[in-house]
Amino acid sequence: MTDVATSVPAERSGPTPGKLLDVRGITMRFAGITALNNVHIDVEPGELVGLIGPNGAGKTTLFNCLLGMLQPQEGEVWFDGDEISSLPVYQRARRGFGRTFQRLELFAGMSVRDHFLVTERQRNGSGSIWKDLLNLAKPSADEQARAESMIELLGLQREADQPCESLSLGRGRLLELGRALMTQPKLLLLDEPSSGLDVKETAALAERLAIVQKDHEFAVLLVEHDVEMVTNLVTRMFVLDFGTMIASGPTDEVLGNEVVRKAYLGDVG
Amino acid sequence: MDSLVDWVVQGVPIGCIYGLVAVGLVLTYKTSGVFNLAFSGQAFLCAWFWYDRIVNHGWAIWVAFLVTVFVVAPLTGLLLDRALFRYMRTASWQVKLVTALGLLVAFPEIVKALYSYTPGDFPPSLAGFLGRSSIDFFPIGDNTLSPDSLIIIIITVVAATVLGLLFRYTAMGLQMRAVVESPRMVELAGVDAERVGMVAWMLSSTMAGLAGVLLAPQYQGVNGTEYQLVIVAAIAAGAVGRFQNIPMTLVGAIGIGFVGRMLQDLLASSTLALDVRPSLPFLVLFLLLVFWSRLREGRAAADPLAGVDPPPPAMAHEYKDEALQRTTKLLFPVFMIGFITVMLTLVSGPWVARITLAFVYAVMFLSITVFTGLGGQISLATAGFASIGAFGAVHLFRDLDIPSLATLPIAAVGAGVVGAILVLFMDGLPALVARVTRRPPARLAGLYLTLATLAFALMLDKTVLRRESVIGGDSGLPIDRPDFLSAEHDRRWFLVVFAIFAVVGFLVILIRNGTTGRYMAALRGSDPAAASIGINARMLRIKLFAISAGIAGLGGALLALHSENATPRETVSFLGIVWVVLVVTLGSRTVDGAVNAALGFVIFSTWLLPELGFKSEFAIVLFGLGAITYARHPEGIVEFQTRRSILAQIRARALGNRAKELKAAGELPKEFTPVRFAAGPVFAGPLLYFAYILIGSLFTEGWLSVRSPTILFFIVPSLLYGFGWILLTSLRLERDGGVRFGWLILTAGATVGALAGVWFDSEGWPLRGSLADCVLVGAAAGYACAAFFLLPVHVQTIATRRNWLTTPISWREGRAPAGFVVFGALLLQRTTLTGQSTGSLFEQGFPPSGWPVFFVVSAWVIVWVQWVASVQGAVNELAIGGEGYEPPEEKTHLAAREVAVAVPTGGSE
Repeated sequence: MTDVATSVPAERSGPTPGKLLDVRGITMRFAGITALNNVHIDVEPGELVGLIGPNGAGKTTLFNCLLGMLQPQEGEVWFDGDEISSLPVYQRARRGFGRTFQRLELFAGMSVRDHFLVTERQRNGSGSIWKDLLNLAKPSADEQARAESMIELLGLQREADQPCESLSLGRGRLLELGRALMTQPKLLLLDEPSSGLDVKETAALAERLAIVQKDHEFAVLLVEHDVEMVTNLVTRMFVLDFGTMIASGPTDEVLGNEVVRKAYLGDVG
Repeated sequence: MDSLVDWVVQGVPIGCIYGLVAVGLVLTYKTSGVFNLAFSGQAFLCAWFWYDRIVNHGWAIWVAFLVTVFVVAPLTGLLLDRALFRYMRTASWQVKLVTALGLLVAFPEIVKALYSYTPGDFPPSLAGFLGRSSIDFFPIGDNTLSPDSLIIIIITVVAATVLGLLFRYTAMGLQMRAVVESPRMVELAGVDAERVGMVAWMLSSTMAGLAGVLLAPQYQGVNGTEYQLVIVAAIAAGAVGRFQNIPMTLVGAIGIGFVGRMLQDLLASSTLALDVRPSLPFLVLFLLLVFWSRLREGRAAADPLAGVDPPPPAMAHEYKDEALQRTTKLLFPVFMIGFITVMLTLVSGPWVARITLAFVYAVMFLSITVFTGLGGQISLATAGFASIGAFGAVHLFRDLDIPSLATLPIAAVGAGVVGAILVLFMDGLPALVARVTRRPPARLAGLYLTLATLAFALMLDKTVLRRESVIGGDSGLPIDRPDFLSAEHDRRWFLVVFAIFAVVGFLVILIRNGTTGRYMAALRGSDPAAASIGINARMLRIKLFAISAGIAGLGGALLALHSENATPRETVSFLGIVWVVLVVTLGSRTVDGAVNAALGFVIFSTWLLPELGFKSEFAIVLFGLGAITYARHPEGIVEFQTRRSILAQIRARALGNRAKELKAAGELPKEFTPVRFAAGPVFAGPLLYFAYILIGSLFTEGWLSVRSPTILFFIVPSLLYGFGWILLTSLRLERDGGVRFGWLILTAGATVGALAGVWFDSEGWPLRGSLADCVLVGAAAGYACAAFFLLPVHVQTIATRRNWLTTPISWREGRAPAGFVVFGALLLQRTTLTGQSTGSLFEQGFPPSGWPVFFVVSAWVIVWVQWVASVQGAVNELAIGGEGYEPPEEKTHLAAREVAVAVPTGGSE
């Protein structure tokens, strides 16, 4: 049975074993508006989880809280056994988050290959200012190889060395996905990746995502409006409506839930 | 109790004036995003206008008041908006700030130039408004309130109320608030964003006018320094209101006035006062900016339509293809070797010193290249760190007996450490606090970082750099170069300085091309995305700030060694601002931007301007006004010119290739003339003259002196060829469909020029052969000026007739050469009438001769030859363009066929 979000025991009880991401009691207020109200969400390692809900529900706000771009008034974020609620964004990212953005956030002026190279350099941590000064900062063969294989994986060979501004939206989303994947995340946060894409592009994106996920076994938390895409990809779903989690559970059950249908899906199946 | 009343009575009026300026500042910031530091300059200008009208032209006080505040003040605002700020509505905060800084630098000098300045004149009082004389004080207990003060309070209250009502209850107020968030959105809603912006500027400038007029009686004279003090207090007051809240700003301002007066009394006698008092406002501002994180939270909203802008063009070096890169790789070492050889042999003593000084400044400016060009932030503390480096080196030398050359690296490291401590304090400490208290970690970046560095520089000015023990008095402290580099060995010293510059420049390039540069590029591209892949922006910024501080310190120490003295500068804060404006305007992203800035700064202010009869302070006005070009070319002038020239080369090559194809097919039209046939002979004359000078100088001691008869001998044939080419081309173009009666326009130009020549002669030029010479030169100049615009317009007309989408050339091509002709005429007039004879290289009389004129003429020649080449190139394009020919410009960078900008589609959270 689907359950409406239950309240978590009031005392902090440490990390929940078996959960990669464990978010409890997130409350975020902006000048009088409660964007998130006592939200709980969790993801297990290697699991694909969906987060759906109408516009304005607070999905991107939740992502921002998870990654540290926003600081919620209440709540904790546990990731991989550690509480990360007070860490800055870049440290959370280094612990294994990857993220795409609702509004495409590319590195203006850099090519596709450059995006992957700079991400890889950050991931392997081999850059330092001393190396720069000794002219040892060129991309290594290893880094080049990894970037190239990501380019191939996503089918971006044609645009690999062009500035990212010349990419269409579909290709840009692929680039963002690739950049997030280059960090070798444990958990990938995808924020409406199909937004603005046509049917073909959406299918291509979903296909690539599924392939990569099978290979590398990272967890995915996917925010989407395209119900078909989500249903095909995820095993479990959360539904957010005006800052409150109104349902969670296995995909079929959530989609069949009355409350969810009324709030979001409409009465069409 | 009495003292309390006294503080109120004295402090509140001055606080009100701070409030007016602060409100204007906040208003401008709220409605245009520009932090108009030049506000006090505007106030100063209005004050002078008002004073001038009353005292020198006998206007009635109230008339002058009304005209100044309600006509002149808004007009200056309007002018600033139309000429400058309207181009920057969607520009980044750096562009807006640097332009404001440029104005801040230029305004006082402009005002000084407009009005002959006699401090100490007693400005008229507004007491008449209250029907009293200015000494008719109001008694308040044991104290008295002057009528002037009362008027200030009344006017401030009225102005603030009106503004508050305007913002809250009128449509215009709402529109003003919306425009700064997103001008495009506002326009989509049917509001004219331009008009709203304009009104906002006029409104805030009225505040400036009010402040200016009210301030004068307070200070017993209209003095520029007080006005600069006011701006700092105004910034502090604005900070209290978080640069958003106008009532709080006023409260803050009055508070500052009150506290200032109180401290003035309380600390008057203590020794601590001597240090703390002058820097108190800056210290307060600094602490506020650093610790009050709420202050920095305000303006997070980004323009939702920002993505609509086309991507900025790439840096010039990315346009180069293989061939061009090979050419550059070849030419660069050749140029370097040639330059060094010339410096070591031919160049005379004073010039060696000047160019060495230029490279010292180039090292200092590299600090700006690192922090601003690479790091994307603006620091106004560069001159402060340079001073730390300079005095640090001197003290190491004098007090610790460290050899002077060895002080250089120590000074650099020392300045770097100070910089690191400063930025750790400013940025890291609050971050630590935020983490512990789980509050949102607001970064110190952008405008707030800049203001904090300004506050730091101001504090340095008032405290450390005033102490005798540090600076040793007005003439500074001496330091000696080692014997083998002493003054006789100036060329060796040049080599040392140049080597240091080369090393630092090289290191900067390495950083830019290395991991740090890549991370900074990512941060510039998208801050949140960079963080999401794990880039630690704060650490990067701290490193870059420390490095830039170290480089500045090295530059300062080098300067001390160069002048063999560490001299206290007027104000490091002001200098820091001038340098930033200069480097950013020319190009902060590249090393050659820094070199150009340094060369320009030194050559202009120490040689060219004084030789041409201008005060060297005028250089500051020029640099400040350079900010106007910056608004249009935020990438910097050097970058813009480089990009343009590369694109021109690519275009020329494409044209040449097409011509070859046609020639091979036997279809090359006869109108096609290779550019070298047109521009070659025009350039040949001056080139031969330069060769003559060079070769001749090898055979004599030092450079040949430059004499105008010789210049004329070489240039006149080329000039005549050029004029002939102009006539021929114009007639041809006219026949092909260009402007009708072109020959008439040329003749008219020549006639006007001839008449101007007659007029010049009547002004009393000591000419040889007088009238005929003037007429001839005038006619030639007039003919040329007419041609400069006529020929491009011919081409434009023909292109339009043929329905081409873009014209190969437009009338704008004529601006530069015509501008030079006009400037040259003015120059000739100045140098002969004032009869300058500075230094042995300059000879009196007409025609004026000497090196300054040579350089000006050389610059003109380059512009003139470029014009000829552009026009001939455009004519060629007309000849062979049309079917099958596409101008290559659009394709150079965005090679993909389908170009779509990622526009945000629906879906909020």
